[in-house]
Amino acid sequence: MTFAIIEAINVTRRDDKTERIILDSASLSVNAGESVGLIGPSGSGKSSMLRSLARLDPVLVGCIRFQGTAITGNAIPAFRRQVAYLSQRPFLIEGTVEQNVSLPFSFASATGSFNRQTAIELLGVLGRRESILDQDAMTLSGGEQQSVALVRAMLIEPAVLLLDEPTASLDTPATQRFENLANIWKLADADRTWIWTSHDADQVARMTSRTVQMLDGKIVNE
Amino acid sequence: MNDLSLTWWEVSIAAVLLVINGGMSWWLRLGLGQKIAISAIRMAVQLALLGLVLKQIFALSSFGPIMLLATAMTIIAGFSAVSRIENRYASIRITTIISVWASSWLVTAVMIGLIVRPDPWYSPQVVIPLLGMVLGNSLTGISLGIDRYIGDLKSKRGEIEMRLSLGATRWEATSGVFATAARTAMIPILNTMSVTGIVSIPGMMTGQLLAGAPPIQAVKYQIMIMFVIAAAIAMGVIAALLLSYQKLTTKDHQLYVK
Repeated sequence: MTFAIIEAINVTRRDDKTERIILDSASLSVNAGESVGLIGPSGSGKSSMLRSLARLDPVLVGCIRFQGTAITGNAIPAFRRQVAYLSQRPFLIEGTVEQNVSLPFSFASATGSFNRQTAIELLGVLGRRESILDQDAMTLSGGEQQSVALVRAMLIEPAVLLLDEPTASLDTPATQRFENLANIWKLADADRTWIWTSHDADQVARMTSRTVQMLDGKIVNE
Repeated sequence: MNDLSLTWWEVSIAAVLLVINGGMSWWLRLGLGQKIAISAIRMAVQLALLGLVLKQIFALSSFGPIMLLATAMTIIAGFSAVSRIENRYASIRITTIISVWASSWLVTAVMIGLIVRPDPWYSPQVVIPLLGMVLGNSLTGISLGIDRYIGDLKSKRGEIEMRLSLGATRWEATSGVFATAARTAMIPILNTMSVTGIVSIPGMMTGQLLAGAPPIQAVKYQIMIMFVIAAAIAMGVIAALLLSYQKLTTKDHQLYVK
């Protein structure tokens, strides 16, 4: 049975500084297990849609529902572990790779505990040995940092991944490694869902099966 | 005991030294002459006015005018804290006034009610200078702390939102920035405490010595006021940062800095 796992309902949002409307009554419903590609020109609202779905930005009108329930207030930290957002630029903290990938388990909303073995297996995609966990995260290449950020999100076992142009600044081999890693997560469970934004039409075709187009803050075409 | 009181004529001798400075600035083309003149005149006028106000209030020595002056000093301190902050938000003046007010009045109340115990308790000769000293220090700490806090929330936005998007609460995501800002605000008073008495004799103690107080008595006062000032700064900074935290994050665990 299919059901809407995450929905944006009539979401309107203004830019905090310029007051410009960046999401204009945009609605999007995604079923569990779907692979959605969100496309459109720069400034069309793709990134804002993903940030709104992750509840990172305050919305003016409308709401975000997860499994049919509007998510607000103190339900949000636990919700964000279910709907993990990955930014275009990876943000790692100063310290080792292990300190980075175990970071989400230090928060009060953590349910499980950090599984070192799983982290090593996932980071194996980067073609490195166990020692990468002890490496200073700041010495990794851009592509490796983005993969570490993805592994960090994968380890909290979200139901939905929101990927905001994750490979926009990566070269082809790094993009390929990133996609392979992402597929490990996606294929492990048929109900796992993701939404990608990308400027790369080939990537959208490879990674997603349903394409949603945005223009001027609106969903224009499915 | 010598009579050390000054006449205006004696004060003007000190002014001559400044005039000599102005002349040197003109001769060396440092462009400081006008600035020196304006600052010096401003300071003299401000202090003369303060002297007149204090003279009136000391003479009256009644509760109402003293409270009015104390309130005015506190609000001015709240505003001038904001003028030193580069990173601001809409209701920042409310934050600085509340935190300057709460911290300074609380510690001044302790100082007057439990430590100095003047009679009557609102004696302006005691309340006004002590409150003034506490306010001046508290506002410096508060402006340093808030400026650092907002600056770091902006510059570390990506990292903070990364924590939020992995399930951190707004407090978990920003507590590191909070701690850094609080530490930054406390550094000047900690430095002052550790060098006081080695490099210079602090102003209040100098004043007491000039007025003929025994050195040990002056030292006791200075130590007491340092403790109280440090406490006021700590309280004021924590209040200011907590209020800023409430303003710059949302109940939906979002960062809200423009």
